[in-house]
Amino acid sequence: MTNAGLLALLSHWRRNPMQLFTLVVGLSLATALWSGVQAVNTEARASYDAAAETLGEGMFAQIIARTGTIPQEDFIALRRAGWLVSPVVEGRLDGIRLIGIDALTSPGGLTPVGLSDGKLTVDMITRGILFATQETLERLGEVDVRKFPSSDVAPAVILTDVGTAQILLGLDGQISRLIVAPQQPIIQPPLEVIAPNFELIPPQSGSDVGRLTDSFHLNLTAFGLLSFVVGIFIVHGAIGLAFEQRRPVIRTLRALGFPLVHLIALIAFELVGISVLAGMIGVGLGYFIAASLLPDVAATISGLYGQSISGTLQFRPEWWVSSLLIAVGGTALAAAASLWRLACMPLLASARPHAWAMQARRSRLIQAVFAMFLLVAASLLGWLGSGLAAGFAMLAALLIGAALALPVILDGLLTAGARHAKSIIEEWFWADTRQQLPGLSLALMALLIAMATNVGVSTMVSSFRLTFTGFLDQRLASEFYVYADDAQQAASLRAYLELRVDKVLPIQSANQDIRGLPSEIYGPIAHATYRDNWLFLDAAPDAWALIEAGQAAAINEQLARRAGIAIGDEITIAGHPFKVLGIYGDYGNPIGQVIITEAKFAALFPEISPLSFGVRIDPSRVTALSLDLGTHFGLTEVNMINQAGIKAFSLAVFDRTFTVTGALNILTLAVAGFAILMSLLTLATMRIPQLAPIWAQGISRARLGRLEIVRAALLALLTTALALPLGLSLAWTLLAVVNVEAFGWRLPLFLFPLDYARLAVFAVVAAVIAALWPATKLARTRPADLLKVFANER
Amino acid sequence: MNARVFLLLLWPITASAQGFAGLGTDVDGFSSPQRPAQFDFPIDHGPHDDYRIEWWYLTANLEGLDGTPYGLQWTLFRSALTSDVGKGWSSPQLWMGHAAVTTPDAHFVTERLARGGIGQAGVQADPFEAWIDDWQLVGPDFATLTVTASGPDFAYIWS
Repeated sequence: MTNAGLLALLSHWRRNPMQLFTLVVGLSLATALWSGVQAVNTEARASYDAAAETLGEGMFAQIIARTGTIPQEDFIALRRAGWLVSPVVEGRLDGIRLIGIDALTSPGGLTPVGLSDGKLTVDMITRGILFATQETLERLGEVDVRKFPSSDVAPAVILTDVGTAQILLGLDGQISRLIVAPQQPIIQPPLEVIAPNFELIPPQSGSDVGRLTDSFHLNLTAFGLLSFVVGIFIVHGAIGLAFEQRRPVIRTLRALGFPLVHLIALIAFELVGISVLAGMIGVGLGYFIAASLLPDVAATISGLYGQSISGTLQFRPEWWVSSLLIAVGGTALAAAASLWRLACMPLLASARPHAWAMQARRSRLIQAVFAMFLLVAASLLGWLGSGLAAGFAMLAALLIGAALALPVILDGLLTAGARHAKSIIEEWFWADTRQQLPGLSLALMALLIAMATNVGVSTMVSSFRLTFTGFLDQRLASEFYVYADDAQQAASLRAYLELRVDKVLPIQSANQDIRGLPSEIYGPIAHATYRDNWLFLDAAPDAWALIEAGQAAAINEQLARRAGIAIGDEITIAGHPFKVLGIYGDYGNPIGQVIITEAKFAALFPEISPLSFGVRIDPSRVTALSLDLGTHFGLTEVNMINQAGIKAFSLAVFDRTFTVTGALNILTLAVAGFAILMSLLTLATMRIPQLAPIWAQGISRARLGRLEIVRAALLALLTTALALPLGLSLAWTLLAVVNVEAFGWRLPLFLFPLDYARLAVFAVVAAVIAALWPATKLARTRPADLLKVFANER
Repeated sequence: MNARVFLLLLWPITASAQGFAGLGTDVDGFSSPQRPAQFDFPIDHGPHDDYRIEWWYLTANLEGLDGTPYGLQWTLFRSALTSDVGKGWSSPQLWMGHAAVTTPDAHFVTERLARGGIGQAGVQADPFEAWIDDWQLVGPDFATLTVTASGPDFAYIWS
């Protein structure tokens, strides 16, 4: 009986292969985008975890010396006083970060790689081994220590024993920092008593880089989810249709005595089978999406946050299992209503498929109310909410609310259109379009969401780019930049330049934590270049004068936002208090920045002398100057860069940052386009009974076909018109809420009418192309088939 | 599996019948105790780096002022990874301290690990001192030893 029932159910797909295709492809695409994004996130997270585990950054308290490195005797003294601390020696080897740890005393999980090999442990301690990823080891030059590839080490990091690191870095008897074990003995003298020069840094929580990158991954996840929702819309449509069309089969089966529970179980089994198949295809596609996105994501992450992630993708079960589950779960969600209706359906209910369209009309009111509720919630969130979660909740409410409102609004617009109809055929056209709306609304909702996202994201990226370009023009005011190799060369270079150019602006910086956030302190000299070009977003009166007098500092926007510093607040730099009098925009910089006067900088950081200089000079003399410096100081291209060079480089970094967003954007639009095509194709076959009477009254098939195309174009155009305001609200949310949380800067919103017009044309063309096939099919329907409608009328 | 777990397996914690978790077996390069052995104190109170393992061990049954009985244990193990003579961080000598206290109804235990060659742990023969971190077994002679140990939930000092 089960076999017969299953065969009867499956025969539906044999008769409607297009529906099966829609279902499988829709689900695969949805899963593909979702799993692609998940794969990227999982890979990045694995890189962060490896970094956190091997470096112990953030997880444990640390001890550093105020004066630089910690003498090894002091480490022993701390241990012998009962402080459970573990030594870390770090530095750069061939430009790669080298970290030496002591596997015996480092807190749990901090050991390098899987040391299950006993011989390896012994060799690491007695002879020294360098652990790193294959990629990193290949970058490393010749060293006299054994190299051991391991994928568990963070990218761009070499891990080894303390002793080996001391030798390789020339830090004999010195320790860079000490990691404090989370569990300490109950008796312990205070740190100040044993080592007064040491500073205990509590474990980093709050605003560390991990949390910053979280916001980027939340962005990606939101995109993945969006694509998945669009895909599920397609699946929902396909499943709903299949259920409606199978009503006669189900009625017949039940009339023959097939138990309802058994039938539901069979359908569920069939759906799980289809969703697992589609999920697997989706995971495969997702792998390729992720593999092609990952290098750009890696570039973005290191550009925006200074974090390294691996550029190669591994097939980790975390994401493919979850993607398969979400494919099955999404299908279950899309099928739940249909299954429920089936369970409640009276045994001999009408088998007419048109109940579907009627049902849609009845639920329209509920849908409108729900849409209103979501839109009100979105505006409330935008008004009262704060934080990244509220921002994304607002985006979700806005998009879903607008999608739900779409059929209601379109219905209203079409009714209004019908009122202006001048002929019977026009009147029929409007009425028929309205009648088709329920069948097309899911696809149109998908299109609306995809287009609004496109408008929103492209507006955000373009506004960002415009602001960024303007910012570069201001910030890179010097015509020419030159970098010395050492302090001695820098001094003679400066003296040489002073005599030949309008002004030499030394660029010097020190790294410091400001309120626990990693920041750079800059000490520029007082000059009009800064006063004219570093525009404050917010400042006290006479800010520049006071900063140049040495009493105050200016900070960048991201530091102000992350640390909650306002104008007039005090910050401490190297133990010295400064009043913050200005906040300036600093786009594209991952960390905080502070500007103090050159004199103060020299007093606080006497060991730092400037190695790079900005040069103010007549732009026409730049080439001559670089040639001159080349002959006099042997400086090469690497040491000299003109303004145009830096700008081009910065913009290239910027553009790469948003490649990922652009790619996801186009994929989402493609899914929506596919949804439209499939909906039109499905409707075309169902519409023969409705079109036959019109044809019988003398309208040619060719004209009917043309009207179909016009209809598709009209609906696409109306949807685009609605997508525009929605997309702009989306852009506003991204710029004013999400960006502030994710990157720490707020950007002005610019409008790009030409881009929107192009998108509208694209949407209409896509809809026309999608309608072309069903319309041609319609125009070629044999008159006999149209006549058959009257013969078989139910 | 991290290094900590692995290294614990290296240690002769359980003196099983097969012989100290395999460390009792002969390995090239290490000395083995020969019969007849002539001890030379106080030098032989100190470490014998050419042997693979050895330990300094103290147990005591004590009574509190209120009459409560206590059991106390203090051990310092030395174990060599290889028979090479390495200096500083590359020394193959590893040290593990183990301390415990038992009361009639509770058992407290804790341990420490340290690399040899850097002064974090070791044994000196005369005047006698065995130490790892802040733990020590020390005294001018063996009649007046002081023993200390501390952990996250207990500590003792007894002389």
